[in-house]
Amino acid sequence: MNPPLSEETLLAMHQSSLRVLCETGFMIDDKEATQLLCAHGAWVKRGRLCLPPQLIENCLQDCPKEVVLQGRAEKITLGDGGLYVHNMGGARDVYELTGGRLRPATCRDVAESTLLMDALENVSSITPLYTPRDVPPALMAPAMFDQVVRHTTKPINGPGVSTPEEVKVLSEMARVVFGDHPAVSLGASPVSPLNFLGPIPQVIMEIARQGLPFGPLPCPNVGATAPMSLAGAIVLQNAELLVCLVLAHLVHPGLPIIYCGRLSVLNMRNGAPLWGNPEVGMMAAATVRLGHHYRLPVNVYGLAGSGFAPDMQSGYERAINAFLPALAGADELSGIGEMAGGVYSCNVQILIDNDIIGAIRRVLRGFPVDDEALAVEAIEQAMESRRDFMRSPHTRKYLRNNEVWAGRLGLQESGWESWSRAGARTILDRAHYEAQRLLEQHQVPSLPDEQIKALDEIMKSTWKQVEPG
Amino acid sequence: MDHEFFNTLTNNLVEGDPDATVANTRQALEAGIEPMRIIKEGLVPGMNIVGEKFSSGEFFLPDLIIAADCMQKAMELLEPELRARRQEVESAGIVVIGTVKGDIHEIGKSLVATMLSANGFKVHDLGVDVPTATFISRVQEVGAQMLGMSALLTTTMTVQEEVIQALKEAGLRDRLKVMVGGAPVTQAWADQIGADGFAEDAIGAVQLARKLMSS
Repeated sequence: MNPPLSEETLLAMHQSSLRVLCETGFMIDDKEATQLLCAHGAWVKRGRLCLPPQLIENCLQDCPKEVVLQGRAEKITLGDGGLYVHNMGGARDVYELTGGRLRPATCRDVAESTLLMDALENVSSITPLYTPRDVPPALMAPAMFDQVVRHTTKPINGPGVSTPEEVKVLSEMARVVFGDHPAVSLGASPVSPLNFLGPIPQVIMEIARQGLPFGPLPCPNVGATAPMSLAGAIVLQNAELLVCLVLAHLVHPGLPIIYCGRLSVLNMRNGAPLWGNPEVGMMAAATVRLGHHYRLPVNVYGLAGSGFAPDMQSGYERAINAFLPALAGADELSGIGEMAGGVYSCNVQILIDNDIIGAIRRVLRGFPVDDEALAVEAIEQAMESRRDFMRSPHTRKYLRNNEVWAGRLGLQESGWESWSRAGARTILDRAHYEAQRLLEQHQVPSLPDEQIKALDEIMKSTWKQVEPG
Repeated sequence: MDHEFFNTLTNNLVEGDPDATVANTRQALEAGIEPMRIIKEGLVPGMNIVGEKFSSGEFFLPDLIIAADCMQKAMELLEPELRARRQEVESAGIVVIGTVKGDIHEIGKSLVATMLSANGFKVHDLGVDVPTATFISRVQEVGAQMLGMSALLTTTMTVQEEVIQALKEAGLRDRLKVMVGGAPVTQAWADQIGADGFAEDAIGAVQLARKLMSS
């Protein structure tokens, strides 16, 4: 990482965020949250709330170093040194490979994409991939959770939430399936810069009251809602994260909190987000280092591209942006299925991303360098016999130990001739057919009938409360 | 002599210096130069150069925005002088703009408001989380020719449809053009809800606004 993020640099960023919160403050109009923060030393200056550094330091001390997410059959522990990966959430549309068109996403798309990701070895937890447009707005978040929990046994990251009512409904639904202490994470975003007006403080406090693992998701854009300097953007994101952390912690000391970065850059010609630029990966890597400085598990993007089709641009952009934070030690990467900055998705992108993560995981695994791996004897034996390593027991051993990665999509024909004869399939074709195969063959155990009934009841009662007339 | 004032003001916009623009505008007025000439021979040429540099790729959105700020601050000094002379700069149109109820995202909407203002529209920016009734009453109050609505969330974009319905119920729908924008918004959505147009970015919004005003 150039410049390297030394401890000194991380400290400078941390101190800068403390100064921002102490000297500039943040906007908030929720009375309960303001009173709570003021009771712990916060004060109002020029219409914004300021936090004392000591309050922040104390809260950071008490945050758990690991966060467990528990699904119906599987569990992951963020912060245990492993790399876990999940998909992007809430895409508006489905990209149709044939014809390259977009269509609004539905509940069925949430269900199908969940089933697909349940089958993929490199997806560790699942977020509702789409926002279903075939339900009214008040039912979107509950429907997203409902479709995901029915179609996977992996841990779940709930949809991003905007109101405390959504938090309550989702918590109730999670308890139906997971019991009293569901380890399902929820995410919520302030508006950058430093805007906690409206319901977001209540959302944070409700997540904390419910005891759910919390992933605050500030999404500042460099040069528009954050400073144009990458270091300054990280300072701002960090300040927003610290506000979320402090508020959650004051309501529920010891709440599991995941330090989540969502910094992006903009095309300064037209203001459009550029998730595929390498700065996304650079800032994500820096975010990992800063979150680890606080000894918190960190979640960042990840697989992110700006391209509008699942093409070469998307491929190289997302690989770069996923590699940088992975090498920095990210605990969680997001972005499986992401297209065009998160606006739409498709099965083919999910499959390709599964392979990209497979390659990254292979890199992180490293390779052994012991006497046997240094292979002096194996070389001698090969030279003494047929001068190839194909027959060597050494080769068979390392082959069985996955010394060379074999991705799901990467194994292909030997050369141009056989490839042409086999139909000249590109990676998009292979991903498409593999997705179809998995969807036909993969099965997830159904939820028990009483749980399905209970979830349906919650959805009905939620709709009754908001139904017009 | 006048010519030097105009060159200075043009440079202030191109260099993006709002304080200098205000100071020099004030000096030009004190020197007895007519406000309409200050606008047409000093400020507008500056905006035009900024526009050309943007088109050629030398300048970016921040340059446009800073130049728009310079222009707006200068106009705050000049408008009273114009009114006193019973003059006014012809506006490209009266626009009401805001982010819909339940949504507090503002950067995109603010960029569009700034760009419209920089391009001669009279903009009433209602901010964020705007109640539907406020859109309707402000549109009536200012005689808006265009309404712009922003929504960032899939859950709040449906409010855009509600506002259009409210315009119909108030008998106002035919009196103005409606344009919509925001990350979840598409042309298909704009068509579905009966909006007159949709733009994907602030530059597109200005082009759309001009087109809608001339139709």
